[in-house]
Amino acid sequence: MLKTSLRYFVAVARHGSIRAACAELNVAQSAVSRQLQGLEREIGSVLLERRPRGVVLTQAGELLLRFGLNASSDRQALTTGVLAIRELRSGHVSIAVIQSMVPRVLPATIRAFKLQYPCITFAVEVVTTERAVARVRDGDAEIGIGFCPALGSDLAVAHRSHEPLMAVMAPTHPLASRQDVTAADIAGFPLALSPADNPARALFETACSAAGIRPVVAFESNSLELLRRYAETGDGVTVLLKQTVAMSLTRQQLVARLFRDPGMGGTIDVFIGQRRTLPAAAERFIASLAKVLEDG
Amino acid sequence: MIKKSLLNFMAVVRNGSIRAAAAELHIAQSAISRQLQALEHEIGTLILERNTRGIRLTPAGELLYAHGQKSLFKAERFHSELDAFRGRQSGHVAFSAVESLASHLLPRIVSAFTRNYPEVTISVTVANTDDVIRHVSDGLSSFGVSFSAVPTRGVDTVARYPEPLLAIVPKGHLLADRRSVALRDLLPHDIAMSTRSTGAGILVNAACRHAGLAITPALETNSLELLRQFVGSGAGVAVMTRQSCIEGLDGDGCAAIPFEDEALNSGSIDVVVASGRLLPLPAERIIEELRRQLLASSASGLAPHFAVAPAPC
Repeated sequence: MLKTSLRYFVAVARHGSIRAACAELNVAQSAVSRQLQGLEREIGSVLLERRPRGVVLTQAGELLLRFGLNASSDRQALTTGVLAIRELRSGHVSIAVIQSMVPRVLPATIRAFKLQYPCITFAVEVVTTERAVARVRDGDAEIGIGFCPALGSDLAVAHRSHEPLMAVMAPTHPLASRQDVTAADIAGFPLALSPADNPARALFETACSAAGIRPVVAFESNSLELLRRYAETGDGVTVLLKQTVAMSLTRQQLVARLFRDPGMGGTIDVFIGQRRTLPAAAERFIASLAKVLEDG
Repeated sequence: MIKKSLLNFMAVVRNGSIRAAAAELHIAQSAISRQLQALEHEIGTLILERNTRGIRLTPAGELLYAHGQKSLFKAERFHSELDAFRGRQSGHVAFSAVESLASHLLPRIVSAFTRNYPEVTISVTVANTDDVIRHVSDGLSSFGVSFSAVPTRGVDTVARYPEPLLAIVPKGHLLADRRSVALRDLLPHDIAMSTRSTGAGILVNAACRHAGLAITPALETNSLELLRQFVGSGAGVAVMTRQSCIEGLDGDGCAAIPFEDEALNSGSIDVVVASGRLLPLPAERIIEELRRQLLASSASGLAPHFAVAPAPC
């Protein structure tokens, strides 16, 4: 990032001759001479003395050469640093996600990603869908993941997967033996739900009123962990995204049944700001996310 | 020495937008945009994103900015070396310091320096410790003098001197003859102290927590001048750093009494510079002088006129 004149000067000083420097730089001697004169004027000192066998640096020239060589090695370091970012040997990914991604999707993605790119670091903020949208819109997170997010024109969907709502209960629950359930079926049991502003809850309410059912909520919490535990330990039923209970299903602590009612599902959207391009690390991470979301 | 496009990119980052940078530099926005494109082309990747709140650097852009700053620091150092070789020192030194040094130490150092180096101009920004650190890491200041700075990435502490807080009491005060006091001893009196968010305020908080004390200051202020006046007028006692009460209290017989509370004695004056930065030679001279004076004053303990002065009248 040095001025042309200084680059020319460094070349001349290194070669000890204007002619040799010109050959290396592939420019005319007159151009180099002009640049050197300009540089001497700018600095206010004679930088080199022209001798029959090349040039000799003055003391000021020696000082400037030291500066110039030092700057060239800094420039090299910059190139190396930029390359490391591009090759994902350095980088940071900031993500704002909903709780449902915490049990399976995020840890699985990060683990897989770390195997391939061990030097990338992560910042994960667990928030509501609405907040995730705001974090990405404000540029505080590069990647957002939400359930049925309301994205304005300033955000773009990078990956979308369909996600059913599930009726979740203990394996011993009377409904556990069914293949699938209806909203009317679970309305007869104590219901544990997310708060009203949760998109999954809103979806469930809409489907219920379409079916002419008004479910009574026994217990409400914004902690999915708590809702899950509630279902595990009692005769209650909770309604969650499939991803939220993925691990509990594997461990057979809970069973999840699809709803027969229409409209009991939405999308998990991975979204980003409308940028010219994403940083390489974020872009690769989205690809890994997509794979994990599609696998399960 | 450094390409104009890089300098203008740095102005965009400092200003937070291309528009503001164009206004500052008096050039067209389109010219800056073109230069930014050329820079991106040169380093082979995007360097900034534009969003509703202005611009945001990409990781490569952050590297480029740090590179630019390093280049500027080095160019400045080069010019000062060239000056030294020509047998004169010119240029400008900008540094930041906390207010407690502004009444006593800084005026002495600055006036001695300008006598010795008449061609060097100095600007001193008085700010709180957080801002001093920020000025240094942003490169706005060559170095900073802060009070009890928290170690910060990108900033090195090159010198540290103990700087205790003292109880300042007016002449004839009940506590005036004490050799030392505990913070608890001040409770019955009207107390004035620095705002809780300042370096001194944070130490007072820590001492309160440790001693289980809830103090309700009669006066909390960010003005050291006001603290001195508060004590001088006999309104009560103040908790102040040693440097901030050397000047402005003498002659009126106020006493400065050391504290027994460990937290109140744990403060320090820190001289900080951007990591790895070689300073211009004049800035190095100022730091040398600062170190000399700080060493002398921390070795001497209290300033002489504080040795529990008997009331002069």
